[in-house]
Amino acid sequence: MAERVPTGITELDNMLGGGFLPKRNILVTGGPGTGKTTFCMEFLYRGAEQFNEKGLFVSLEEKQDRLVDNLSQGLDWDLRKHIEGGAIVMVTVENFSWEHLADTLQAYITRHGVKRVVIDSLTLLKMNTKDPFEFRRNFIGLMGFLDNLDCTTIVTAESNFMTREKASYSLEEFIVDGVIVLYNLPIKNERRRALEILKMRGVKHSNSMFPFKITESGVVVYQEEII
Amino acid sequence: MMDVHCYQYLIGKDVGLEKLDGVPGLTKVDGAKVMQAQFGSVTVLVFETGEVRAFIRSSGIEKLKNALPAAGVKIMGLLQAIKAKGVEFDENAVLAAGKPMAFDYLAVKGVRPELEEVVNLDALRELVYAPYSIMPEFQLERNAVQGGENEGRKLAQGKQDKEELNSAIVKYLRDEKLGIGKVGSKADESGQSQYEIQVFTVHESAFAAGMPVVNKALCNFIRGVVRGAYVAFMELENIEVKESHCWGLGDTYCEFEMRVTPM
Repeated sequence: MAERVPTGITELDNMLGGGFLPKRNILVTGGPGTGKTTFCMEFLYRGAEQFNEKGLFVSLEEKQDRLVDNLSQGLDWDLRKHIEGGAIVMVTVENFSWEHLADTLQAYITRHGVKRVVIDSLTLLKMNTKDPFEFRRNFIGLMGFLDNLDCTTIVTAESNFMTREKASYSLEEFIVDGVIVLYNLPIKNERRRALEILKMRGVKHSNSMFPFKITESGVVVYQEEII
Repeated sequence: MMDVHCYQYLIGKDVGLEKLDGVPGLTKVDGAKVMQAQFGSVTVLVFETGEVRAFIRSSGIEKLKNALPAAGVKIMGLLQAIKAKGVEFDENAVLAAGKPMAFDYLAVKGVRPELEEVVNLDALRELVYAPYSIMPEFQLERNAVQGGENEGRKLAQGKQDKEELNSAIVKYLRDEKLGIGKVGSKADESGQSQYEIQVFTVHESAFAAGMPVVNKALCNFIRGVVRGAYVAFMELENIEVKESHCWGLGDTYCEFEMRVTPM
C-alpha cells in the first residue's frame, strides 16, 4: 500500500485507507459552525502527539491566543504543550500578501522541517486578492509550489451551501488533490454534523455522507451510519 | 537539490598554487586557478582557496566512498606536501572533516581567473527571465527568493547590531553588482510592531533597471537577501519584506520595506 499521512481521526483514516497520500493538497470546505478549524487543528495535533510530525497553522484572520482559547473550550488536547515545544507553529499573516504567505510557508517547510500545514482560509486569500484572475494564478502557483515540498497541506474554505443538493463548485475544488466537505445539517429540531469525501485523487473512498461529532477527544466519524 | 558526487576537504586558507609547483603528482591545469592530481580512479583538485575536491569521473558517491580509504593515504600525502610548502594547517583535522560536498557551496573565488565573477547583465537576465516562458511564474519567484535568502543568511553571521547588518547588505549588493543600496527607516504606523520599518532603496537593480512595466515587482532575489539577513539576525521567521517600488511597477528605482509582523 502507498505511504499515508494519517489524519489521526481513526474512522476517517480507515475510510481513506490509512490517511492522506503524502505531499497532497486537501481542501476542507464547509459553512459556519461545521468544525473546519477543529478538524484541521486535529490534523496538526495528532501529527505532533502521535506521529512526531511538525505542523504549521497559518491563520489569515484569527490571532494565535484567541484561536487556541477557542479550541481549548471543550477539547481535552494540550495544544499549548505542542505550541510551546515547537511541534505546532501558529502564524498569523496580517496585511496579507501572497509573497509573505509563500515566504512563511517556504521558511517553515524547508528550514524547520514542517510536514503538516493548514492554511486558514482560502476565503480570506480570495477576499484579499482583488483581481479574480490574479487569485487563480496565485492559487494555482501556490498549490504547484507546495506539490514540490515535503509536506501535506490542508486549505480551508467557507462554503455557503448547507446541503449536498445546493452545492456549487469553483476552480479550487478542481485544482486540489482532495476535497472534504463538512456539513451542519438541519434535521428536525437540531443540527447534525456530517462529512463527505468529495474527491481524493489516488484513493478509493466512499461517496456517502457520514455523521460526525466533535467530542472532548476531537472529531469522531460514525462510519457505520449514513445520512 | 542535485546530488553531488564528490568529497570536499577545506584547508581554510589560500594555499598559493604557484608555491605548489613541484609537489609530486600535482599538475597545473589550463584556464582555472586549480591544480590536479590523479590517484588511481580518484581525481583530486586543489583550489587556490584551499579547497581540495576528490571524485571519480562519471561515477556515483558510493564508488567514491569505497575508493577513499586507499586514496585517503595519497590525499594525506598531498596535504602534507602542501603544508611542507609553508601553509600552516592541521592535515589530520582537514582529512577527518572531509565530507560529501554540498551543491550550494558557492565559494567561486579564483575559478575564473580571466573573467572573474562578473557576468554580462543580458546573460543574467536571460537566466532569470527566459524560464518564465516554460515554467510557472510562482515557482520561479520562489526560486529567486530562496537563493536570495541563502545569501542573506550568510550576511547575518557575526553581526552585532542592525546598522552593521544593513551595511553588510548594502556592501553585498554593491560587491555583487546587484544594485546600489541605501538604508532608511520609518515608523510602523500599523501599530502592530514595536520595531521600525527598515527601508532599502536600491538603484540600478540588476534584475529590474530599465525593465518594462509588468505590474509586479521583479527583484525577488534582493527581497530574499534582505529577508534572509533579517531572519537570521533576529532569529525570527515573521519578517515581511515587500518590494514597494520597482521598475516592473513603473518606478525608476526599487525599494524594499522590512517589517517584523506579529505572530
